Amino acid sequence: MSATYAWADHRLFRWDGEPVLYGVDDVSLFHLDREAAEVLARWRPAEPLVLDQTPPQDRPVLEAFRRARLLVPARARRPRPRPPAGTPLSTLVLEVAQDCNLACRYCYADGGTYHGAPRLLPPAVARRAARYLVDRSGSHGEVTLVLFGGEPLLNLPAVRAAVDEAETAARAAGKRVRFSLTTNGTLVTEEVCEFLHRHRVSVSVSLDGPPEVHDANRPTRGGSGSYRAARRGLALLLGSPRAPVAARVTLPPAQWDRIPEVFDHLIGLGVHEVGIAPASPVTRDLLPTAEQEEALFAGFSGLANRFLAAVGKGEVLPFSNLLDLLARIHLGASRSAPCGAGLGYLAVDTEGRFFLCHRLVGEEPFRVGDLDSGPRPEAIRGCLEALAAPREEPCSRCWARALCRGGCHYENHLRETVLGLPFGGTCGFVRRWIELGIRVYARLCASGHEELLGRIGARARC
Amino acid sequence: MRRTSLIGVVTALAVGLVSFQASAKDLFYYIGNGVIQVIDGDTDDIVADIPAEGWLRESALSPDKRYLYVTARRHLIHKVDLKANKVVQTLDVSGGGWDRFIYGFDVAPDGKTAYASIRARTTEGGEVVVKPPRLSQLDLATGKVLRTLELPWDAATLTTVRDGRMVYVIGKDLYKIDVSDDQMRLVETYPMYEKQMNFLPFWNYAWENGGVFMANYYTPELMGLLAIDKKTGEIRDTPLNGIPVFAYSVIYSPDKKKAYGVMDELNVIDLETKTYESITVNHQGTCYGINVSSDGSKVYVGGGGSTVTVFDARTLRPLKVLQMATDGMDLRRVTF
Amino acid sequence: MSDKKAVLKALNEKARAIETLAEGEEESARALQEGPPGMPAGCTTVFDTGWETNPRPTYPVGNCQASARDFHGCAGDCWWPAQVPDGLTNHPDVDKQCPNVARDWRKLQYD
Repeated sequence: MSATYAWADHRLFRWDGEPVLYGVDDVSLFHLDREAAEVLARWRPAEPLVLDQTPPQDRPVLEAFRRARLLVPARARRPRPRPPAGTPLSTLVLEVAQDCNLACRYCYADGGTYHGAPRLLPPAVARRAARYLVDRSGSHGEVTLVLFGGEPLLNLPAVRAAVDEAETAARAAGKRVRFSLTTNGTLVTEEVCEFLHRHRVSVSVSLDGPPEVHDANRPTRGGSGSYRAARRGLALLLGSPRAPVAARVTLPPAQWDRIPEVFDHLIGLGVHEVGIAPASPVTRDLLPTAEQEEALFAGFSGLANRFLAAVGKGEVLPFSNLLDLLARIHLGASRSAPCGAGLGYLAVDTEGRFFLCHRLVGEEPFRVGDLDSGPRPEAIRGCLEALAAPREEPCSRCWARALCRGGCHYENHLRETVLGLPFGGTCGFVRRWIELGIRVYARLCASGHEELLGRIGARARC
Repeated sequence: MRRTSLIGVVTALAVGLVSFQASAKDLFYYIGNGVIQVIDGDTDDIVADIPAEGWLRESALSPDKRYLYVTARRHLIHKVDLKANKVVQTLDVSGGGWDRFIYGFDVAPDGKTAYASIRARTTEGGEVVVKPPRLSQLDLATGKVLRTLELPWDAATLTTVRDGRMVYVIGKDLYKIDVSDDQMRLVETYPMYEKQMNFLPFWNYAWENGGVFMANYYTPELMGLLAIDKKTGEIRDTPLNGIPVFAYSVIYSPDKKKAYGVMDELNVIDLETKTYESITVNHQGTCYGINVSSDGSKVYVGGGGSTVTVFDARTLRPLKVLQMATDGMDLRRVTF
Repeated sequence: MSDKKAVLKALNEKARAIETLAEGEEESARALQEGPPGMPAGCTTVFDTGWETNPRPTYPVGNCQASARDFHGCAGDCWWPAQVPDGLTNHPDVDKQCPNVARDWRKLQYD
């Protein structure tokens, strides 16, 4: 019975003198009392250790570490989680319009077309895709249809067809379907609003902040700014209290120092949540300098601090990035893949072809089937394995691996394959961001906000 | 005088009717491991335990409903007195250097003998010797084998038909054995194998079904019900429409308009349309046996694991889950 | 439970789940140590005869039932002698050792 034990991969964080231990593979968080911290410091270098030969005074604490799976049998090596194959569909992204009336400077989709001529999704294909989602959703009681582009409101007939067909199919199958739509807001009319509200479509509007920031990033095809038109559309959408509207911000590195004012401006417009994405480096001039990256972290970190301060006043600062991270930390779900792409999540282009995700539409190596013959599981598996292979070894040494799993497929493809950049360009930021999330989480626990964390955690469940 | 006696007759009739209704009582016999447990169909409570050696398998009822014969460990035959709730006699078909295994058992309509399909095994010079199965008629009082007939290798479950003049033995095909003469003879084979029928009629509920031996079979395409009228010997095949369900056992509703099947779900089959009417999950898990109350109001599923679930036949809601002493093989109903 | 030191406090749901699991495992391990028959050291604390599944696109769709409820039907008659005691030849008394698998599995002794 003299089993030998080793420390499970873990990371010790210390804030305000309080030690918090993060189980790297379990995504577990434990607060240590003084005795536990001392025993850990003493025994950390000693491994493998034989539990029943340790001094009696330390053993109860070491036993507690064992129960918390922080001390594990020495020879137990956890296999890397493998993504399942052939999962039923839960989310389908429809490229309703591979066309756009704007010409955003950072667009990864080449002006919304995803390369090639502008084109619209035929309503008949929209119907087939919507029905396909419901039919192939296995035991899921709820599915999500994402109306995407380009600018989806350029093709209202397909939007209507998809929503109608999905609702009909879901009703027949006894399932629920959620709709979401991402728009630049400039084509929103009262008629559009009425349709979106009636079908409970949750809407994200791409808005980059104050007029000069927004217009610098998001000009129309003719070169004028789109802020006024987008804001008009937003006002129409916010006119109905029934559906929350989120702002989706994309900022190039030169604007990362303006995060606080961008956030405040959008909240001032009345949106319910703000999510901020650094622009992908679709051209090399969008690659950040070290100072710019520092500004990005400072911006996010400032919002995190404001989040903590707001909680103290009984308010929740609606910063989507942080809310999503806290939700994932709360559940502690260890991911097998960075996102759902190919694992119940697929995108369909205007020709009815499946791609691994919406951002990889038009990229031939990531085409994984079509509506006629269905997604090809072996192609999906091949894509995922090819994307995972170069990061398997470096990720296995990273403490943030279970919450990150390698990052966005498109971003990795762009950086490593298209631009030929070395692996790991965003890892430093990701680790700092996750650490910040753990810190905020631990602070909220220490100040008795478990109930709030439970509510935030519910985000990750749906 | 006449008038008085007439009143007397009427009174007697009335009393008879009342007492008949009051005494129409269902008892369910849970065929367990080393025990038969008795469930009162009025209260659905376990009212008696009948110890009976071994893991129990086939059951057959004497024509007067006094005795239940239950096989155990494939070589014992227990005679259970249903009044005294105890095993009053146990026969062992093994012996004389031979292990014997019963894979089919039915009591003859005379109540004095039984038919069993028995396969035998021994060891000679370190080598196992296995004999083809034989249809054996046994004297139930003494256990003596009265006569035997060699059967095809696959022969197993059996039932007596046509007032004991025939025995049908089921294996890959159904073998009709004429037992009315001194010499038993295989007189006809009802083909199943060539029709791709896969049949495990261990659960066949002949007496609960009013004298109809019935079980489900599978082909690559469908599930069907094969029914044998014990009185006439007629075989009726009812292929069902629709995607087949999984069922170990199937029983008729008393009006024979429906059938109920069980494995992991309780399935209701509409026999008029020959379709599956409903599929209800049995949350206790897999069950082997099924039965129906004599008024058709309740369906009982149990065995496999150590539970019996009583369902309301109309709403298909579970009314009660009984925790039995042991895992079990079957659930039989005797209505007194 | 009183001998356990509460030196670690679970903060997130995963940490709480791990603690709950540890309690369950210890209860099972204690049960194994109670009374005869003693179980050999290193024996599993979890009894799992496996699962019975339905690979066909028919009812019960995606079925996955604990095969414990099919244990005695398989054992006595030797349906799957590799997985369960062979009740016809080597273990005719399998029902005596373990008449109720869900309750008595700790008493199973066969190889």
